[in-house]
Order: sequence, then structure tokens, then C-alpha cells
Amino acid sequence: MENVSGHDARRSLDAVAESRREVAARLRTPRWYYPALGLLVAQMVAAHGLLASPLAVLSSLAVAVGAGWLVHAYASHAGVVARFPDSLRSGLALAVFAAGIMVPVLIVVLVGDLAATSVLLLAASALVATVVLGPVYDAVNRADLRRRAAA
Amino acid sequence: MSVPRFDEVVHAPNRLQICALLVAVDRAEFATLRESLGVADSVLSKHLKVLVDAGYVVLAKPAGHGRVRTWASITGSGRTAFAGHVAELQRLAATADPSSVEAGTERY
Repeated sequence: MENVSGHDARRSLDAVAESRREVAARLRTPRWYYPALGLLVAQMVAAHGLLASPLAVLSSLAVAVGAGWLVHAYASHAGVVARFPDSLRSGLALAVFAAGIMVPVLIVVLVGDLAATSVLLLAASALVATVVLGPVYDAVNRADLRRRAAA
Repeated sequence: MSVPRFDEVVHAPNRLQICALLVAVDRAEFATLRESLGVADSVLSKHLKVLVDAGYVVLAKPAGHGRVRTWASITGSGRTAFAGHVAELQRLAATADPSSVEAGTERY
């Protein structure tokens, strides 16, 4: 083993912490990301609630393709792909975000035969949940990374 | 908490930074690592090759539209080696400065 002093070790740990902070800064989601994702989900909710099955299936395909493109665009933009959260706080924030998206989808799919107004309200709630809860998850995740960097 | 274990492969400053960045993400692009380290392509390539040869990092060049980008991600053994090395650094730092012993509880 190389002879490493306590001072050298501290300096190396500082470099590790700096890298953590840099990752946290890079994981800033582009402004268009969550509104675009929200619109994709909202159109799926509306399609499943208002349109015939073949068109609803097409709208689900649009979500799959669109979400894939969004993830690819985000990765190209940031130069990194985020890990699945391994802390309780980030995991909880992700679960709340996912629930905000999935609950309107599940209501429309499972309940069925809803009034058009109800469907549009659910679509709007999916859009709002995505736009509001997505950045909250990002913020919690970045805070976790910064907190580890400071530890 | 990881078992403190000094790792010569991870210890070099540039490789330590590469590992520190990669453990925090699923994968990172070559250009991102280069910008983060502030080194030339050839220097980064050399360090990545050492990490790849040690089985700590894997590189991928996904086919797709536009220019081909190289993505790096840390392996399970790389994550273990990095965590053990950081634990050893924390132990050494705590020996020199007992007030920094708190950092020894951090999980990577």
C-alpha cells in the first residue's frame, strides 16, 4: 500500500465529495422534461376515457415511444443517467411521483365509463402531478447527493 | 458500512474522481467525465482502460442516431472496491483528525 497520510486521505475525500456535488448539479432536469411527460400521460388518460380501444392503445404506444425519447434526450442533455434511488427519502419521493401519475391512469382504465368531465379532470390531474411532483423528486434526490457529499 | 481496504487502482486522483462520479449515477458519458476531470481525451481513456482492465468499469457504445457516444458505468466489484477505499481513506483521515470520524459512517 502506498504511504498515504491523514492529510492526503482528507484531500482525496474532499475530491470525492466535490464529485458528488457535481453529479447533483448535473442532475438538474431540463424545464421541458416534466411538462412533456405530463402531456404524454394526460393524453393517455384522455384517450382511455374518451376514445375507442384501438385509439387508446395507440395513445399508450405514444407514451411508451415518447417516454423513451424523453429519457434519451435527458441523458444526452445531462451527460449522465440517474440511478434508481437508494435512500428512503428519494425512494419515497419517487413513489409519490409515480402514484401521482398512475392513480389517474388506473382510475380511467379500471373504473371505465366515466363522464367526459371526470376524464378531463383526471387527465389534468395527471399533468399537474407530473409537473409538480417530478421536480420535487429531483430536488430530494439532489439534496440526498449533496448531503452525502457533505458527510 | 464497507470494510476499509486500500485499492491502488482506485487511489489515483483521476480514477478516484471517475469512480466517485460513476457510483452516484447509472452511467455517465465520456465527454461528461472529461469535463468533470478537466483532462484530455487520451488521459481519460488511459484511466478508464485501467479501471476496465480491473473489472471496475464497463464501457458501452450504444448504436443509434447521430454520433456514437461512449458511456461508462461502474460494476459491482468497482462499487465494492470504491466503497472499501473510501472507508480506508476515512479511517486514515480520522486517525489524523479524530473530529472527522463521523465521515466513516457514510455508505457508498
